[in-house]
Amino acid sequence: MELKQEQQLLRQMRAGDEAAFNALYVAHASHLYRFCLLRMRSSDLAADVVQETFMVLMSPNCGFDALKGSLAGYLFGVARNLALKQDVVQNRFVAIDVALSDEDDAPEIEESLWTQATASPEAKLATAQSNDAVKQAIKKIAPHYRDVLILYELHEFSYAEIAQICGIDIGTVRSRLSRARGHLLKLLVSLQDA
Amino acid sequence: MESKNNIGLSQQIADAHERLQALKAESATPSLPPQVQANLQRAFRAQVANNVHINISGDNSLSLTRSGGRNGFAARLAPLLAVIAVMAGAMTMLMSAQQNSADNNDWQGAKTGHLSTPFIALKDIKLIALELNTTIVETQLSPMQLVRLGIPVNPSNTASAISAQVLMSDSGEALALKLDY
Repeated sequence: MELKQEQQLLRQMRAGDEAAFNALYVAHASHLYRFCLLRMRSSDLAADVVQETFMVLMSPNCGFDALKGSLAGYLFGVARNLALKQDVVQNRFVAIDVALSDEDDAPEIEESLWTQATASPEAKLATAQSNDAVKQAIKKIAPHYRDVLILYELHEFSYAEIAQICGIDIGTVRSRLSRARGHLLKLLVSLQDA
Repeated sequence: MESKNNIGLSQQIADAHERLQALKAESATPSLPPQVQANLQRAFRAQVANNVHINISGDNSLSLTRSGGRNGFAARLAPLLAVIAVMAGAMTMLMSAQQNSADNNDWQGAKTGHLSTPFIALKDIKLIALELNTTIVETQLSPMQLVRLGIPVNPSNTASAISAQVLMSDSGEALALKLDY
């Protein structure tokens, strides 16, 4: 959706136009849901977070500022914060494996190495059956790495947008992404070995 | 040996990348439970039912909340009343400025009560358009208050007040004003 069209819909929504609200919902809800599904452990929780995110959007206290970034970025930021709160509520931070801490031996994988590599035929064949394993591996990654990985690899946000969503600087996005790939790789290898 | 390890690592990277791409393709369009949208639509209607919308011009639609409670009408008016109270008093300089500008037809028209300016933005128009709850307050502004709002005023005029409509934000900030003569 174009920025101008989105701004117009937002204005109409704020003026009470339900069709405009529905249009914004259709444009963003499934992307948010995909993010939440990969980030959280229950589809019910993911749906709750999406619903809460749109409640924030329609609230008079919605803090979206078009000058600071896109509406998608804002909504993902809200969803991420809500998901982090859920993590705290469910005490999931303590479940992070010690092996996945910042000091572990997971390799840092740079962008060029990641994108230029060619998968083996066996891997191509296996991927069709292994999506669940990848999802499980992603969910085992520490949240601050996992969010960056999901937003970049699966939602194609830019570094700048991810920086806005996560409230960190671009350099940190780069390093977290690099480490997240390393963690994912390590987890996938260990799953494969198992 | 090291070279063999590197080949192994790059192959693992490639395989991981491939698996992520497959996941990306698979989860491209997950469908939310339909009750989520239904719940949100209900909430949206309830919120709209509590608002009255005032059109000021063109596509600018401003809403004033009617409902009570923390975000109610009285609560919203409180900062506006505070601003009005601060504004009450001065009103002079601009009219004097008009008197000293005999060659200016607009000001002459203003003196005779036939003119009003369009709304003059006091901050970035994009930010004004994104304000959720705004209202228009009719008031009298002193020259000093106009100066504080960034409106140029002839400094030799200090006497009269001028009628104005001020577009106020929810937090009591003046967003735009229209001078009436």
